[in-house]
Amino acid sequence: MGKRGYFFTIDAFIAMLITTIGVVLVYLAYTSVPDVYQQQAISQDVMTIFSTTELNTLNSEYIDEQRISGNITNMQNTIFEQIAEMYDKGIVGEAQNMTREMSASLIPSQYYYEIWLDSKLMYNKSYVTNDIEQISVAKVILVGSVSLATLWGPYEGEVFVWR
Amino acid sequence: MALRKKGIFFTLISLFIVAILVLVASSQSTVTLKDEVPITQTAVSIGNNYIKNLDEVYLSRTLKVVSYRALRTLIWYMNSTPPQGFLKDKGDFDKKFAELVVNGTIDGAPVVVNGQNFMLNYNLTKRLADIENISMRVYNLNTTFNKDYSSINYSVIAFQSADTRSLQVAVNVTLNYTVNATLAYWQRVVVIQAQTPIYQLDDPLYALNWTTKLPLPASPMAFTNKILMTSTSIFNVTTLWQFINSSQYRYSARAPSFLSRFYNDYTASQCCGMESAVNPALINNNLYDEGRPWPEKKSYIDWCYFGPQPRCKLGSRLWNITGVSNYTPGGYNNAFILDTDSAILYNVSDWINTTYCEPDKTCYP
Repeated sequence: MGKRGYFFTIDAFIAMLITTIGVVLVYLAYTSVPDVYQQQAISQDVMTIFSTTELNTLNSEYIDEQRISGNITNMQNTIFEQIAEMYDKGIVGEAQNMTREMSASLIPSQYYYEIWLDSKLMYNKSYVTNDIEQISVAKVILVGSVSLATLWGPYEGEVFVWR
Repeated sequence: MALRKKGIFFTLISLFIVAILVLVASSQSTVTLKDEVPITQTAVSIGNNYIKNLDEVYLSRTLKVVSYRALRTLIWYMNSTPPQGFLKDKGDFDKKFAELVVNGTIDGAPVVVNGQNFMLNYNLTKRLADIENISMRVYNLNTTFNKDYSSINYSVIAFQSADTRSLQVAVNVTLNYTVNATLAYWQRVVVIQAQTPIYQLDDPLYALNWTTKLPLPASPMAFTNKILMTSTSIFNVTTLWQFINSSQYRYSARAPSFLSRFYNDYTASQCCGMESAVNPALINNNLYDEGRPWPEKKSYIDWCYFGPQPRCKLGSRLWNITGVSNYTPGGYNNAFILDTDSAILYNVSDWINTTYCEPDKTCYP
């Protein structure tokens, strides 16, 4: 009787071992892909807002001030076009200020982001780290005119988002 | 012994069951193939959005500015030193305008005025190359434009119509290009449209008709008239006086359009005609050719004044306008004259006077 129990116990352990090895093999068959869905959605969202929202549709004290001061002359510009126009005119500080003002409320606080134009950093909410993972980027090409005879661009606009 | 054999047998069955489980579960790796579909969808979606923006935004904005510069350059070319003169006809205008828009040149040479090439970096060849470069950098899309100027798939047409009216010139360019995203490929033949305002461009009629005996100033365009439409809708003696001295323009179905002024064509344009009143104060002794009779016996509406005589309605009489014309040489509106039809049109027919008066007060009908 004891010997039979001994054998049954051994048998159960071996069965558990085989089952465990099988389950582990099953899980290892799947490739683990980091989830960047949220960052992708946010970067695309910010880029869409920056690229399609015209200034005349916004209720913003900052925009009103810039229009009065003469930095904004065309209210039909989109946000990114206006930033690019300021950058092209050489008032890079104002372009960076506008980037900060327009982006601050768009991205949840737990995310970090950078907005670049023509390979120049316009604004960043980030910290430097060597192991940023799951970073998502959205890009756009920008072309516009400041007068009947003057074009600016094409410039590359980029939005990087990570957590 | 039988028991040992049973154990081995049962162990082998367990291993077999586990192997089957692993194989069945491993077949779920086809799920990872489904993860590749969104990447293809994304690539095609990016390509479609890029092409939409390319056609509707990038190219039309570029064409609008390039066209404006081409019109301005063409006027400078016509009035350069030595003067080229009016273009031969519409076909000559189309050819030269198209070459300026595409290559920034006329007859293969850049147009340089006062050391400035206004079309430098503002021609389609350069701008399309910029877009090709940036599309690869930004979207990893290989864009290739057909830049063969002689190709039938690359035509440039400028015109005015009921949509543009007097104040704008419409430009259509047919472009042939491809976009290669590796996963997808687009081949496009599109007509890019732009409406270019003619605000502040020089009027070719003035630019090529002023004559002077004095050495030209640094800019050959010093004595010209820039296009600016008047806001006056009701004319009388007062507003006519202002209209003359502002050198502005108004829509007129009896007058030639802006484009026809390039080739000295005075055919009336129902949709797009425009006219101004030549300001006699600009035609002073410094500008005037000594061989021309003064005062001039012709109506001072620009296409009447500059065009081959007799202009305006045949047989129409010419009038001074009381309250507008004066008789002081070099003074405002000196010897300003209107024909009968124009006097009626500008609502000053009650103010018409004998044609002109010499300083000794001798007046002529």
